[in-house]
Amino acid sequence: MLVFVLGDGGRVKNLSICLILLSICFASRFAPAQDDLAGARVSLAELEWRGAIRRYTAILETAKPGSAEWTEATYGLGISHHHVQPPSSETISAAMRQYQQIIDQASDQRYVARAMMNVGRVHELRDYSEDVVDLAKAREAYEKVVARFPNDPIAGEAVLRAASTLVMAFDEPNYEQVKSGITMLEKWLAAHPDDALASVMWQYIGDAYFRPLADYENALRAYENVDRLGWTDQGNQGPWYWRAAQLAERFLDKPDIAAKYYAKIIMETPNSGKAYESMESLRRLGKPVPSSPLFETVAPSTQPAVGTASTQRSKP
Amino acid sequence: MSTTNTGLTRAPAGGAGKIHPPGSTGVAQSAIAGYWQRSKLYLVLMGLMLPSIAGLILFTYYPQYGAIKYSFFDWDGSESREEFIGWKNYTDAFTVDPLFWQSFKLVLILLAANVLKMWPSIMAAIVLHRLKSERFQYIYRVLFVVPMIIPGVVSLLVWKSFYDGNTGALNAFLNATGLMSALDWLDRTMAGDGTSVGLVNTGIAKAVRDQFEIFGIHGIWWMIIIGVLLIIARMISGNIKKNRANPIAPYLSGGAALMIIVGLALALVFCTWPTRPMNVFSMGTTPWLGNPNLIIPSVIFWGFPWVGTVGVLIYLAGLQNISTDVYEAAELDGVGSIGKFFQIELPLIMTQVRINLIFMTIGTITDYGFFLLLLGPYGGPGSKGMVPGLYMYSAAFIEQRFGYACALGMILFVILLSITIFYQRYVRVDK
Amino acid sequence: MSIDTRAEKPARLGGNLLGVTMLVVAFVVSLIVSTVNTLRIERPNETIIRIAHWQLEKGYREALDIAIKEYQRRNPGVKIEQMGVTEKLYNQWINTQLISGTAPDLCEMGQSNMLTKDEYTVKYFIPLSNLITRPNPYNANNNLKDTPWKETLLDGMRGGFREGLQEYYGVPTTLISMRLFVNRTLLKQATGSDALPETFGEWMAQCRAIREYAKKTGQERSLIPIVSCYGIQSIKGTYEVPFTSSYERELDLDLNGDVLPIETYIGYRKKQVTLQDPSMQALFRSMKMVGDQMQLGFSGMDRQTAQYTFANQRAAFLSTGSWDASGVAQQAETSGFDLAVIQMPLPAEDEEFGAYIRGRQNEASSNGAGVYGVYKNSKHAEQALDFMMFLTSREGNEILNQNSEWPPLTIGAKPSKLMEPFQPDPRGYNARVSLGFGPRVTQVINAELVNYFQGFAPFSEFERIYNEVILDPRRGGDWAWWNEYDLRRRDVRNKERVLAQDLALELITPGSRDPNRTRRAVLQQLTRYNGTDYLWLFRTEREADPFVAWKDFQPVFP
Repeated sequence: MLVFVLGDGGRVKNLSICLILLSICFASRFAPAQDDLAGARVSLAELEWRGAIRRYTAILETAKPGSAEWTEATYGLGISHHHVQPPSSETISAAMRQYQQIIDQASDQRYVARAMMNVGRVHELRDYSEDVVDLAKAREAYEKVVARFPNDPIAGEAVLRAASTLVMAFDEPNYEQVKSGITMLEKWLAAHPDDALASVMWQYIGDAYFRPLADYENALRAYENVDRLGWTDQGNQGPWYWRAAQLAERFLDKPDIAAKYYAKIIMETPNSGKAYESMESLRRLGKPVPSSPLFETVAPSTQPAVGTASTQRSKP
Repeated sequence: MSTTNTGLTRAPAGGAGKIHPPGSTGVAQSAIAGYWQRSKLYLVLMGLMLPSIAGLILFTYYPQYGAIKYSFFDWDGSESREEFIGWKNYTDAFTVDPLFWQSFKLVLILLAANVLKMWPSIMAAIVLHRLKSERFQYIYRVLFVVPMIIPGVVSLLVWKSFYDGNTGALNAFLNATGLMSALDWLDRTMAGDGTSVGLVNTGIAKAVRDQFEIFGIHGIWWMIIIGVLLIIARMISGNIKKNRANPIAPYLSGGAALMIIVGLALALVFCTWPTRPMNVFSMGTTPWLGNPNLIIPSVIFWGFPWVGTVGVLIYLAGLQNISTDVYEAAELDGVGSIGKFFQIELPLIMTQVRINLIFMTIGTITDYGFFLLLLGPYGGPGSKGMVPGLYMYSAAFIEQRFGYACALGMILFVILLSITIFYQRYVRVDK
Repeated sequence: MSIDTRAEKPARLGGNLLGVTMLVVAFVVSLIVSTVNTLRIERPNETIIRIAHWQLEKGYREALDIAIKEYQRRNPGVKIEQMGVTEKLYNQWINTQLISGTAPDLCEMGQSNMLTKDEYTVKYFIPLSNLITRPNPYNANNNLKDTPWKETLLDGMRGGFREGLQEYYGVPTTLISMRLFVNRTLLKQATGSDALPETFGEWMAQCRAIREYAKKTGQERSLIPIVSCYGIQSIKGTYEVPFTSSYERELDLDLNGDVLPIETYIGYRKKQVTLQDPSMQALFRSMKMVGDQMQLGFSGMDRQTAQYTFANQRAAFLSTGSWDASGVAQQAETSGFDLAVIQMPLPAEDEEFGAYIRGRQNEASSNGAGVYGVYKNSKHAEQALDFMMFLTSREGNEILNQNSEWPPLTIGAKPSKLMEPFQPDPRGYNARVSLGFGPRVTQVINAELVNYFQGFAPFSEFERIYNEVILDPRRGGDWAWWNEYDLRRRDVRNKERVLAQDLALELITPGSRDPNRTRRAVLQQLTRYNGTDYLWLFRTEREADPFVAWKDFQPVFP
């Protein structure tokens, strides 16, 4: 190409050809981004926030405000700004602007509700070093969602988030905020026992009663409710089963409830690592021990599994 | 043809002849035309260099920029933890973990050892150079080059197997020659804790060990430190004096030699470092890489007899530039073999020595792969084999603190740069 | 300067022509080969699946070939090609393939950031959560026929689960475990009996007898009772639970059935656990006894040397994992000695350390290994997934693992004779005291404790250095606590990204997302409290203000 340029014959023409070739090479870099919602959705699905920002910005250049396309693009741009890495005050501010636009102008109320929730998430979570966490503002945002959409499933989520801003205060020594958060949730559950997040709420309540309140009676009661409704994190509820069993056996003298959870560990979460100890506990309580396929084929061993040290450490 | 004629001004086949920008007079036209021709040439040359420059920028300078940038970040290597924290990583390196600075102790020891380990290569090059038979010179040169095809990692793993306690060749050799018993005797008699019997445990020796401490360092070690400082002073004074007579040079050199030799001898006799018998030689299965007290000697001994192929070839190239007239003149003056070495050959290869010194220093300070393979990421038992490079590796890939590791890298860079500048200015080559 | 850039006549190329010709020929040949390969892959009438891995150990590729042949027999028209890439190169190779869009349909997950980091996994691999809840059709002839595919594996497919993404991205195919290999021939020679040790005391007695035998026969230098591929830390790891599980009741503050390193640290500071406790001392002293039976300065011995020593009948016991089993078995056959495999023996009730043993460590919660992910751009993703279903069916898993001599992962799959002792034993306990809280503390443990085990330093030396580091406010347990708090906070933030994506895609296409996945992510966020629970724990258990204690760390946020 250089020879072309430097050659004496028809050099202006050759130079033009070279420049055109160069332009083609870099054309794609400067070409306008595809205003393609499908492409933006793919970026979103792949957590490719920068690509999503580019695509949504291009779409918004031509989308009519208030239209479905505009709503999706504005919301998409908002969460892309919210979650692009690394976050900064500029990106978070841009996200807030987009959320506010949705709240003010979108006709699809689902987007409005979610944007209002996201405003609360921005206040609640620290996104960058200098970001200020304002739990009160976050709670206010969640409560606005509940007020505006009281009959929508999102209201339950908003109550849960609002309550968590109180529980996570861990305000010793009296834990007034923690108790307020629990009360908020229990009130909601009393009125909405079939809430989509009821199981999550009861599990959260149980955890809060357990720690920091050390109210084991109520903690167990909450876990019983979770068990009745079904555990959300199926397959990983082993630690909660163990906790419920320990609370029942060691602190509340409720062997039947303890036995129930020990049996659940064996049958439902044998991979939790506590199945064997649960069998021992059931024998200790004099309760029937269910069989588990995990124990059916066991490697031949030269030694029994159990030694002589009790759960209390040996003193010198 | 004028000196500015680049040949580009020749009339091309069917071409237009010289370039004459419009509106210029004759002399000015020639000057401008010449300038234009030169510019085109430079453009061609720059264009040809462009791919290399682009590669250098992309693959060398850009990563360095990344290292500088991330040294100011709390960064775990992913996008999820990347926060600007200012000088925190640097202050941590200086104030929090003493292991980083302790690792420099080993580097200093290795530097001193590696300076000594340069000499076998120089001697081998001299011997090779003095071979009268060109055929044998060629054969030996090839024999020196052949081992270069073996990857460094292979050589390292072979040495690791040499050091194995039970199956290693080193222990087999020491056992077969009786040297293992000698080492065992030394281990028992050189102990400074008074548990064994020997010369060093007489009352005088104990008294020497217990006293003469200044600022926490024993007087005998001060002698050695002063000796090293005298060497540095000698080098600096030589640089200042440059081509003029340097009357204090002999005193500095002599003083340095006296201090260092006497200091080392006294240290050896009175055993002024705290030791306990290691009790690892009596069985004949000495764990060279498993005992914390043997790691440093093992690392220093690695590569024996320290005749590095690359070093030999570099020195040989330098020696071959020495004209035979110089040798003839020396012989006429009655200069012997040793005289030729000190007065002709060594001074005339000092450029190569200096280059190797710089590379050796950089390598010693930055190397970590060697220690990683030999001793593991924690530097072996007691972290005795921890060097700054390995500490940096550990910070990045074990602790996942890439930002901190970048800061450590920057500190190493500054240290290396300072040493390199020092060498460039004060390790003079007087021809 | 005079440079003639326009020669009047081109010079003869002569020998240079040869170089140019070779270059052109090589280029043309590689072009032809890659075109043919591409056409082969894209042949419309044939489905070709490529599966890539780095398991070049003896037996694995052959076993996978056998499994592939059986699958191809059942699925005519499907061809599966195995691509074994050396471990050292797998990282670079797979990165290039993923970026260029030519990755194999099935890739073994690991080695490379692109396969292990969440931000890349989500880009290049298909999420499997919705697909693994249906039964595996290849189990139609056994008692797993109605069991969800996920639950048919011993680890519940946990080996393929990505915590950060709350999704399954891989299918594990095997299990790994550590055992003790025994040279029974040497044992009989040295002790007069080839009975396998049933207790720790018996094991040590056999080791001492081997030392005596070595002395008598002049093999003191070359014959060692015990060698380990991974040092003494791997052996100590299997004894930690037996000796320290009894601390669970005191140290498990959150009653989750496990003792986290932070809980150990809290207990350490409150002196609920000390290095001088009888059970801790029992652990250390028993490991010292093991160290005494290993090579002097054993920390300098690497994996290959350990295996070599054992294979050459210069060690009676070898500690290593199931992945080495077939190689060791072959070496035993070549060397002509009788090989046995046992679990690490525990002290009996009436032995020196017996009083401190609560029980064996259970292996029920081990995660599967040999995890394969389905490449997103695979043209035959369904078929690739079908192959993985076959490979993890009872029959397919037996074929793969019996032939490769690796432990099977599918429930009920029979292991080979050699692998029987490697089957995970679900009996026992899981809680343990974890002294390594924080990377710098871990470094001290790895570097200094080994000195004690090797007999080069007294225990007091390790204790001194350990206390110095763990109690150091800038690099010890308090720093690690801050680090855990920060990681917890970030974890919540990272989950927020995945949650936001989920909710956005649900808004865009209602019903497209699994609502339970969303609920699970919300729950996991909530139970991490944005890290404030660790602040509370510091205030109540450390009885100190974290913002004062952590003032030199950044970032710290109220």
